[in-house]
Amino acid sequence: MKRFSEQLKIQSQTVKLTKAEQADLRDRVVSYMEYHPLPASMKTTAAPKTRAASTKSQILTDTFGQFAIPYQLLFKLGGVAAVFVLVFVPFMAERTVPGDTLYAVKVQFNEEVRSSLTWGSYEKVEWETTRLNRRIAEARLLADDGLLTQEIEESVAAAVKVHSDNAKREIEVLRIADADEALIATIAFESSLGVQAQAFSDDSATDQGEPGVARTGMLISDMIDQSRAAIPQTASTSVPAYNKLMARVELSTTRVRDLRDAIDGDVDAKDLADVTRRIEDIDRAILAAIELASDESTEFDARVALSEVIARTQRLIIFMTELQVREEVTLEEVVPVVLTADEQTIDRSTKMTALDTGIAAVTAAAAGLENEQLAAKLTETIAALQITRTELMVIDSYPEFVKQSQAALALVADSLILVEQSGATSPVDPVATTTPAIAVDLATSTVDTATTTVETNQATSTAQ
Amino acid sequence: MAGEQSTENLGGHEQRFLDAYAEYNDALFRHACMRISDREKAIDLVHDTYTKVWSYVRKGYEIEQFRPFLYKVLNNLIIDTYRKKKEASLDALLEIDGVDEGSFDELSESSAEALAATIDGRKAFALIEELPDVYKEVLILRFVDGLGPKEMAALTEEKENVISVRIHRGLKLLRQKIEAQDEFADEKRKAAARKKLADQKNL
Repeated sequence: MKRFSEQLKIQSQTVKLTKAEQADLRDRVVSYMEYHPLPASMKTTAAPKTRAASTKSQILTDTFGQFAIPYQLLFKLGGVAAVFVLVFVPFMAERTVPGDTLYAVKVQFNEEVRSSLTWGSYEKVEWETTRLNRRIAEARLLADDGLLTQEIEESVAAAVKVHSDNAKREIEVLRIADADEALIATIAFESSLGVQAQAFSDDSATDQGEPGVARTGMLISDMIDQSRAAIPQTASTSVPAYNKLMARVELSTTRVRDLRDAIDGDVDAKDLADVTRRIEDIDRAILAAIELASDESTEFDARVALSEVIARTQRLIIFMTELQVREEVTLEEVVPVVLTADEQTIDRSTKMTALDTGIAAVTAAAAGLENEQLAAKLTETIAALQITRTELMVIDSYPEFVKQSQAALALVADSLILVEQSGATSPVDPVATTTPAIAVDLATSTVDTATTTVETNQATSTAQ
Repeated sequence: MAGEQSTENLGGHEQRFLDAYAEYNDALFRHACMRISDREKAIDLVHDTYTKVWSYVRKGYEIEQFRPFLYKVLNNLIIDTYRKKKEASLDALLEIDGVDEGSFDELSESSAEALAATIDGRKAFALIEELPDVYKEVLILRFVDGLGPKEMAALTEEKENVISVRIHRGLKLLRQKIEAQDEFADEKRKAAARKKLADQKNL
């Protein structure tokens, strides 16, 4: 058997692969191994033994060497890079101002992404308003640090225009779909611009007062004014529907309350009380509007009142959310206090008392005057004041009462100044001279400060 | 041959596999080539054998000894090839020869040795491809690849007795073929001699 076996084996040895066939077969097998590598877990475990046991000479081909792409590491690094780019950088960019390296990320990535995620024209108007406010806030920050260059101011003004135009365009789009919503959006947008314009007017005035300091923010202020002027004016009879207004009022007031809760603890008690007072005013205005809406004849008045509520709420929101605005203007300037009925009664009484005191003072002064011309003028003034007093007694409208009483008190004040200037001994009680001032302060509760100032000046010139 | 899936001792898989390739690729090719008598197909079968074993390794299974495992895979592939070709009914052959437990002589190793001693190995190599595959398989595994009856039984999933019977019968058949070939050659030679003698007489 051994002989048979040996002979057969020797003969079978003639059956073998040629060198070319061997090389080809090896390449095919190795290629298969390369395209079907071991799982990473097996490679990881095998790594120490492989390195210890094998040498370079044991590797059959160069293509199947110790070459492995570190996919896990690449995935981890990719994940870290993605977090850095998509989370950390945008977060840091949110705190930048024009001129900073990451400012482009803030404006062209963060805000654009948010824009693309904002659905609905009303929300888009709100977002464009927010962006506009952001640009203005950035400009104020730079101005405070003295870094607001002409170039940056121009770019901010251009951005204000762009966002303003975008908001107006969305309002027009909204108007086609829902005219009421468009009107509400217009009110909110106009209110926001109004607050910014008010803050900028104060800002500019402050700058003007400092000699040698270049006035900053003029371009931006002008652009805001232009934007306000370009807001499409609606007809005076165009007031949004009651239900739409009420829905928006609910949303706005909810937000105001949330903001009030948010600032609780961060601001002092007085400021918080001021905000709370405005919210109470708004609530009273809403209740009054609801009452008006219950009667068909006064339903239009209810809608007008609610429109005003939306505007006031919007101004309050801007005041609470924009830190720079808070620094430039007072809450009273942005959202004046609305007195309750009891407060109005007290205010009426105070003003009438002040007027009576003033008339008495002028009468006393006129009696002792040697200058006949001046005495005659004061006599006329006293007669006019008496008429005004009589009219004030029967005026129901509180704003009208405030307006007329302010004018009368201003006339009293001017008359006393004339007496003082004529050289005559002024019988005016020091308290009396301050009365008009008190009256003016109270008047700001319902009448715009600027209006009061103009009226006071007019009264002064009249008296002179 | 192959154990359960293990997470331990996974080191050097690639190197072990490549070592097994270098050591057995020629033997496997020889085995396949002698079984199917098709060189190109034999190369493909060896390639498929290694790729299947590599896939097995990749799944995390540990192969303690590559040689029997490689032969097992190759053997299965060869059987598949036969089934595809349908050249012969393997099942029929198994039915005829596989279940027969055989005589005492056929089961005896010494008997097989005695029988093999009467066969010329060189002639056997030329005629072995003419045997049915069941015999060809065991004869090549035994006398060319040098596997023992136990390994062959594990490889073919048959009892050792069945393997011994097949070896015996295969050798017997092979000797018959050799004898038949010898007789044929002898007859041919005689006929040629007669023809030559007749030609000389005619001249």
